[in-house]
Amino acid sequence: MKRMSILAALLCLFCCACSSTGGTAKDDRKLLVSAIGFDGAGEQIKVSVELIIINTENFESNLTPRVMTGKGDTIREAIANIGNGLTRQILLNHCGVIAVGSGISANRFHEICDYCFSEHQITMSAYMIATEDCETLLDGEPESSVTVGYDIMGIIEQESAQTGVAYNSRYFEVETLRERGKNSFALPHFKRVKVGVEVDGMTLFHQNKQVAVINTEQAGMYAIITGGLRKGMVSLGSKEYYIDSRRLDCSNKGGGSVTLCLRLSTSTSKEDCKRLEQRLQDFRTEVEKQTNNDVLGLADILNERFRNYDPKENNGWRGVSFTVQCKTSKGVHDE
Amino acid sequence: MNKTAYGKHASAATAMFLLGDAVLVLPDSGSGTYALFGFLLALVPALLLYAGMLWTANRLFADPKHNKGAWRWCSVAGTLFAAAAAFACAGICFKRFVSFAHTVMLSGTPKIWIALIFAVTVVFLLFQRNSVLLKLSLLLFVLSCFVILLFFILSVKDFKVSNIAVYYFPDLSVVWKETRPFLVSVALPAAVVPVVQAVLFGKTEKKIAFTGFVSGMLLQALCLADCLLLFGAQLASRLSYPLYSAVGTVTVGPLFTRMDGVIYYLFFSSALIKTTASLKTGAALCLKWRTSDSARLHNLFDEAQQEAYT
Repeated sequence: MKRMSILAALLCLFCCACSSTGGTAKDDRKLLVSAIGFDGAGEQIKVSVELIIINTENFESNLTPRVMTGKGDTIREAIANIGNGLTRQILLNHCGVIAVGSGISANRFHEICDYCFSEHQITMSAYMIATEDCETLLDGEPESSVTVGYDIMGIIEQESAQTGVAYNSRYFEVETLRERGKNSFALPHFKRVKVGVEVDGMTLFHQNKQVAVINTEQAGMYAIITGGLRKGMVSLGSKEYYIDSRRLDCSNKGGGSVTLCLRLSTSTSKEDCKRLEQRLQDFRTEVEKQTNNDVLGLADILNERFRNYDPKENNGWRGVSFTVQCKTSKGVHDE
Repeated sequence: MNKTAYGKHASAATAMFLLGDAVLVLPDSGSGTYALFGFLLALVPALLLYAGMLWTANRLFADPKHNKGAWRWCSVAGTLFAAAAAFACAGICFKRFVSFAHTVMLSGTPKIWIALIFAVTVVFLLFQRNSVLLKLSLLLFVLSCFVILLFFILSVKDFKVSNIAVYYFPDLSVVWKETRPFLVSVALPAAVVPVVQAVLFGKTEKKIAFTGFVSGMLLQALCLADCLLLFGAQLASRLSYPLYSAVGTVTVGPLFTRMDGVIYYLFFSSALIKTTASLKTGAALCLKWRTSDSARLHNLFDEAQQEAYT
């Protein structure tokens, strides 16, 4: 009886194993997507995928990536149109990059995030990036990896380590902010250069809409203000600052009087401290004036910290008093 | 083997039962900013229920001396209710794991085959001695601890304390809303565990029982904290299988990515122990109910105790 039951169990396992791999047993070639990009195309959406063909019987064959595009009213329709030109299904399990083009509207961005959420194959740790045109970015020779998508992943990790700016742009990080009700976030901005691709700053989003592109220096200041850099070396232009600690103090005295004070501790001189404070203040003024939006998320911070904070009071986020206090290891510098 | 040696086995079985199917789905949908707070708050009624049921179950199901007078009537009602609860636990756990396996592990395989494989495994274990279940529980518990701790440590670099930070105490209505899902997923199963212990393993010592409870809840807390610190409560509650998604974000250098397959072991083992123990308990209680001869009834429980502790 025991042997019969074990035999029956093994038979079941064998059948299931066969049924789940029947398709691939016939053909060993697989189409892997290393990066997926979304661009606006009028009323439709254009999806670009960077594909690599893996031949499991002949691993030594050249892995040449190629970019295929498809258009549709929805993302699934666009991807289905890409699949129409292929002999087998594309696999999204190894997609490392989700690129968003400059023509994507707020609604389309929401649609992209929902698609990535519902598509179980796409890993939540895929990096989200912004670019002018996804097809142009992905189409080209990779510089150091097998595909441009994997190049981009390596660049993000390297830039984060070298500049100290945390490009918190993995899909789950972006989606966490959106789910928590945060209106503002940023994605690293990439462009195609002569040889390969490079990151040239950040794209700022407000309520899912792309509102500004800032350069790498401004990205450093953005990171300091929003908490993307709490401790470590940051390069602002030709100057490097070592931030020992960062703290954001909030006070709400009622009647619309709200103050945010960014307190930094650095290992630089007093003059450099003063310069850093001024640059951060100027950056805030400039970017809010340019975008006319709370791209730094000040209202989000206050909403989170104070139960009775009313963003409509006292001109909303515009009325928030934001100061920067920089302290050196030699003593406190007063503004 | 003596009772003391099997003590840690019983604790391990308790911990694995408490992990059960809750580890697949927590935090539940609808959890908000105060999810972790709600979980910690739910531990209080869970502990009280556990302690209360431990006292009751030891008397109703593990001590034949109490099978007379008013206790006999309580025993009848308690047996019926406990059997129904045990079968319900087994059914829910079975269904959840099969859904997970169908959605994630074997997405191309018809659900019936997945259910059959899991059912065959459960039935095989069902007909083994209780000592086999105990030994398997200890082994699976040790490996589960290792897996949970490993992924927690590997995820630390991506944790954001802001995802669980709270800046003011919420209203009572919010507290209740956040605690309610954990009362159902964590506190209620804790009430079933002492019945399982008493029916399958005999009268359980308090030290063994509470060691198992604390271990199980600690592991559950680690899994929950992992999800909340990575995703925040709002995103984690949207995910069908939050811990599975959390583990999927773990990377170790360029080579070790998509290690979510390792978590299949944790889900399978906790679901297997919970389903088997629940079914065994339900079956034993039904057998008790069918038995009219009180001597034979006492012998059944004597056998259970002897078999577990010798």
